[in-house]
Amino acid sequence: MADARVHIDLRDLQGDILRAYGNDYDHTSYAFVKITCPPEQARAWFSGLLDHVTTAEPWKDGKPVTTLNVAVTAAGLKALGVSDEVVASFSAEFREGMSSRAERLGDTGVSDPGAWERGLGDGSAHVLLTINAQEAEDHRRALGLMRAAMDDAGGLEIVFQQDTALLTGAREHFGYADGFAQPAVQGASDDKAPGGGVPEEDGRWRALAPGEFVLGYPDEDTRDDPKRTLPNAPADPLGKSGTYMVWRKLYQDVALWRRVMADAAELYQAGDEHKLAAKVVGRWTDGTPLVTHPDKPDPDFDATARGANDFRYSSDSDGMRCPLGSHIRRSNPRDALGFQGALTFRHRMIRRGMPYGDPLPDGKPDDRADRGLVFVSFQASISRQFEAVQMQWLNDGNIFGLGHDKDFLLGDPEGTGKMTIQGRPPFFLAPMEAVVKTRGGEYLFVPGVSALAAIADGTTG
Amino acid sequence: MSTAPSAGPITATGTPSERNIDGQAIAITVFSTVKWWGRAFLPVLFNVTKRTPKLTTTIVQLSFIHFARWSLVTKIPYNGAPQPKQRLRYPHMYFESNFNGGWEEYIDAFSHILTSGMAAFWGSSYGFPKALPVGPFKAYIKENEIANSHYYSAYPEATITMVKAALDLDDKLAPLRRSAKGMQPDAFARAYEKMLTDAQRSL
Amino acid sequence: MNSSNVSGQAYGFLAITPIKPGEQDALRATIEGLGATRPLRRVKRTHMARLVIVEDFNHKPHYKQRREEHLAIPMLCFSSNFDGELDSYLDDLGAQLAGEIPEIWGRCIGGPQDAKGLKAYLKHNQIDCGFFYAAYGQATVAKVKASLDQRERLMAFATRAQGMEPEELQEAFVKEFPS
Ligand code: HEM
Repeated sequence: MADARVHIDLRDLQGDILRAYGNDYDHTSYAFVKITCPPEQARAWFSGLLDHVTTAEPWKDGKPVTTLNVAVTAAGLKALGVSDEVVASFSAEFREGMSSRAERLGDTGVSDPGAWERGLGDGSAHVLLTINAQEAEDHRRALGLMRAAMDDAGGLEIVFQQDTALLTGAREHFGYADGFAQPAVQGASDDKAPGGGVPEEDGRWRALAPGEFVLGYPDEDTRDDPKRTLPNAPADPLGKSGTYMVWRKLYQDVALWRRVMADAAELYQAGDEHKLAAKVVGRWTDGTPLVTHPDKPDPDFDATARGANDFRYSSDSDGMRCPLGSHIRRSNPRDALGFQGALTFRHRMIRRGMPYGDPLPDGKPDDRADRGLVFVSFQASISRQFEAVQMQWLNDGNIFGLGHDKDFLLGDPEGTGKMTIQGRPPFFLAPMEAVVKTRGGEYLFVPGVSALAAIADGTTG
Repeated sequence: MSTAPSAGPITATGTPSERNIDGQAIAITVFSTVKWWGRAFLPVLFNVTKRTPKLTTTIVQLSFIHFARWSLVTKIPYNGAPQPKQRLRYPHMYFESNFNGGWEEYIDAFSHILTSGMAAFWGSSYGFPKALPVGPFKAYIKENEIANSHYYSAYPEATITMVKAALDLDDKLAPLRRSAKGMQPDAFARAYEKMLTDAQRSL
Repeated sequence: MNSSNVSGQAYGFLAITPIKPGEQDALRATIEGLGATRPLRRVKRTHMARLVIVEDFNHKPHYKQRREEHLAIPMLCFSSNFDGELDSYLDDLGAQLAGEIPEIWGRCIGGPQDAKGLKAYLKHNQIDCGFFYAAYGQATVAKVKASLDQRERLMAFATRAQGMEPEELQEAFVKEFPS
């Protein structure tokens, strides 16, 4: 159901941003391409991609077997011949790049960019091609076509590629159901407003203005502006229907995580590890929210059902049900900070992450394999949305009254920080080593469809 | 296509000077020139605010300011030659705030939550736009702020919320500290548990 | 005393003093260098303080101010948020900053060259507060610092003490938090 007052030009928008492709696509590959040839040559290749780019237009003949989406880094814009002047109209954090923001993001110690994987954060990633496929066979074919096109063009090199595949039951590696709580967007997902929008008075919710996630549309600051000014965006034609993308490879130390939780649970409510795990995230592993089901998960919980995400924190202001420092309460505090959500409504993001690596079977010793989460988020402002959440809500606890405590789910590369689980009496999780480490990442821009064409034609102004 | 003023990154202080920062604490210093009617209006506003604690509850709840101050400068004290004697045509307002680092991420909220308060305190200053939309307001603060040359905090790593939590905790812990020694172990364990339960918002 | 300067037991002090012609650059260099030594550390009643040089009032054409007003001479602002009453604070400030005084207020017109003259000079140039907000005006610096430290220790203790038997718990507590 869409709000008729807002018309989003879905043909001009790339797919998987406002509406997820969904879990039918088991396989996703992220290929970071470096351009070593002159801009004209790169643009010829780029323009060959355009016919294959998947837009946000609703599918008439069912889901395609594969999809292709394209994003560029600031260095990539230059390599494609976009002028310095136009590049300067993009946001500062995008131009600086993720690795130069490491300090503020908490990518220090074991997560320092110096230790990132080759090809990420070192300026060589220019274009990101994201390929989704329903079947392994189609996946292989699509990757083959992508490589053939690059070889034909010449002067292009894949500097980093991450293949990912869904785990059974849409879980991430620590075992939690993941990826379903998303912002409700006016004109695209208004029906998700209860639980996904901005909590208003009297229990009402309001879907977020599309400009929070897509450039060229009114955002939460300008939605009621009688002069109809639009939020800041890169110079035309690039600003229209584009969005910023955060891409991070987050390694998860599953063996360490299981050990920490098992040890801690020995002292917690007669060894209730399942509940302790729920307290850390704010949801039971099947996704049931603790606010609504504090004692046990709901066997009928369906994350995709209407209203599955419809809850607030004000009825649990002391965190007795859902801890004040749990992952979902931190990453989207809803009404928890008071002031009718005024401290939270401008810090939302659309998440499209994928787990990578094989699962570590239960009870198996540490195999030291590479596994974790490819974290992907879309937002109109990387600094106001992704970075603010990462810095102020996940890596610091002050706004929640938790001092400098960090999100226990993510741990801390410096190896400090405890978690308080409110209760009678409260329980304390002792500081631990980093269970999640940043292996690399990039800030990208996802151009709209006409903007992609302008880049390909060299007519970006 | 975009005509809105920059919503780009702004540092909390507008001037990215290290000298405005000590650990978590950030200093902001602003002088603004006040219109004629502010000379009578502002002292009344200051007085009413002082006498009506309710008016500052929002600031208390927001919990991001350690100390803040508004002063009206109507005369400049004279210290003899070579200081020129100066009679001020307009009053000028000195504002200082000692606030938490990290607030910059919420600067948008500032305008939304304190809209009327800001209008009251700065409405009589020349150049003050409305508190909303956020863009012009940020630009105004940026233009008027003066960089510090030196800033000092006695406990730079603490935020206001942490200070208040620590003080609150002290109230709850003090009785147990006094009585712990003489108690029966079981009674102590119960009292300790109760103390943690009562004080958990500060932990 | 003007009660507007006080909130709880906290005092908000501001003095604006004219900088001697030709001394502004040297003064700026001096106070910018204070970050390295942090001399206000020695004035133990200080919560937060700042030194700011104001060269002029701010104008912009779009402010539509009919007549611009300029500051006749650049000024030094010293502002401090501290515990207790003013006189003894300024005495302490003078005593603890004796070495710095000539380099700071000694560069202001009529300013003191030593600790003795500081109090009278700053009081003469004091600007009273209109409104002073203090989030925890009842707590002194010493109290704030001790409480912050105690909070850290209790959090570490509470984590470590989980699962202890009552005797052990009591013994450990009394050791960590003597009365
Ligand atoms: C390996 C790292 C991470 C893991 C394992 C993880 C896991 C989870 C899980 C299990 C949920 C609950 C299910 C859901 O709502 O979809 C969730 C929600 C969420 N996470 Fe993460 N997460 C990770 C990193 C991050 C990071 C780095 C951010 C942001 C900077 C983030 C932001 C969010 C948000 C915004 C939600 C939705 C909360 C809501 O709307 O209620 N997560 N995450």
